[in-house]
Amino acid sequence: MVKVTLKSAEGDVFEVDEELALESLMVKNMIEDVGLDSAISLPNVSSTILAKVIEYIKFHMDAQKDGSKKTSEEIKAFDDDFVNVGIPTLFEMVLASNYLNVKSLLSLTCNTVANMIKTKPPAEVKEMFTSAKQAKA
Amino acid sequence: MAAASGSGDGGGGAAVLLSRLSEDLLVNIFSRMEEDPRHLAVLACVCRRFGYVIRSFCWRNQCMRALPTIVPEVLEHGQARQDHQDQLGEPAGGWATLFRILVCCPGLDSAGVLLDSWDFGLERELAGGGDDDHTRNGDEHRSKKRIKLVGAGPHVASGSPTFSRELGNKLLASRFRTDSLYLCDWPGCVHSEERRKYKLFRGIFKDFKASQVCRNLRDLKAKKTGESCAFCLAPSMWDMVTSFCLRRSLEYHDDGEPVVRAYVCENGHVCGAWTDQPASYVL
Repeated sequence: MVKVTLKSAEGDVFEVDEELALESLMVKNMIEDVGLDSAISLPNVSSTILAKVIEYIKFHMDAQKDGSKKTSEEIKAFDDDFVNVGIPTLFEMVLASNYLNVKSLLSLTCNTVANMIKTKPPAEVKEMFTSAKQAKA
Repeated sequence: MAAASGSGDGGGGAAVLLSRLSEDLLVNIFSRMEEDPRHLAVLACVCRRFGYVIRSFCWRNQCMRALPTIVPEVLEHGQARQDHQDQLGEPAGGWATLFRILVCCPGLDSAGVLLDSWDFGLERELAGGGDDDHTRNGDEHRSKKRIKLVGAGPHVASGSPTFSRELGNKLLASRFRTDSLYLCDWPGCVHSEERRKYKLFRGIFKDFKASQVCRNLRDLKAKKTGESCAFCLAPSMWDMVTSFCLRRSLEYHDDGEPVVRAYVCENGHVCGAWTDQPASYVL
């Protein structure tokens, strides 16, 4: 199977199946434009986040394959678990899925953010962004 | 780790995080909470950027969703100005007025409850028992005066945020059945006062200037009350009870207080209050 090489912001190299890489519209376009010979560099995505995105796409591709025994409950449990991360990581995933243009992940992460902030008073939403700041500092 | 790499540019945290979220992304996130417009109203207060994004993009969708037949008409009235403005087409009075109708209870003042000479116990502590009636229920420790003001002025409404024309038809006298009045769902925003419960509602006429109700008010040369509209801030409103706009079966209580009050401003914004029936009339 053809492999695609992705390079994260830190310069780490990820080798993935072409089929998997094509789930990202951004990578798909890049492959069409420059071909498979050189590594595709993704300066906006860190290694940690890129690994997570790959994990997500892999799980959902496996789940969609024929003969997959995964029930919709299992998929939902995976999704819930997947976004059950700290706020900074969640925001990084929103940004990465937007940049990489992975529709399903973007929708999952945006929904999570929306659910997190929609019932909170403004001060708490603000605090959410401030606590993200503390985690960053 | 992920965050550390994200802030590799040495920026200042929250501000950077916010500015890295593009407007597209913010709209994407906000558009996932459209089932209740009050979420957006609250989020618009978080920071200027949220406020800007919500005011410029999200309110419009929200209004389209809740009042699909009203919006084109409102837009039409704003058309004259549209040429000189951004291509979004700001309606006259702005989306803000329409959005305010979606989320705001007009408050006892604008609904006319405080207009009357009745002593409904408003000088004393208000709504102490009505826990679920108010969005501010966590604020018991506030001064009594403050609680009173919260109930009297416009505030974020409790109750269902959807609008329908059926209720408007039930409110209006039958000779106005061709008018389209959209009212918020029963029972609106409930205020428990000492004497009785007031279920405050708000609504909007479609094309008010051409409506039968408006003609009736002009023909009667009905006098306006001094109360201003809670939504568009028009300085005065017409009393729909004394100008015979409401259904006859909506009678008075034993103490002479009308079962239903309703006021309409020159822009067709309606606010008023239902009270519990003496028995005869059921919505």
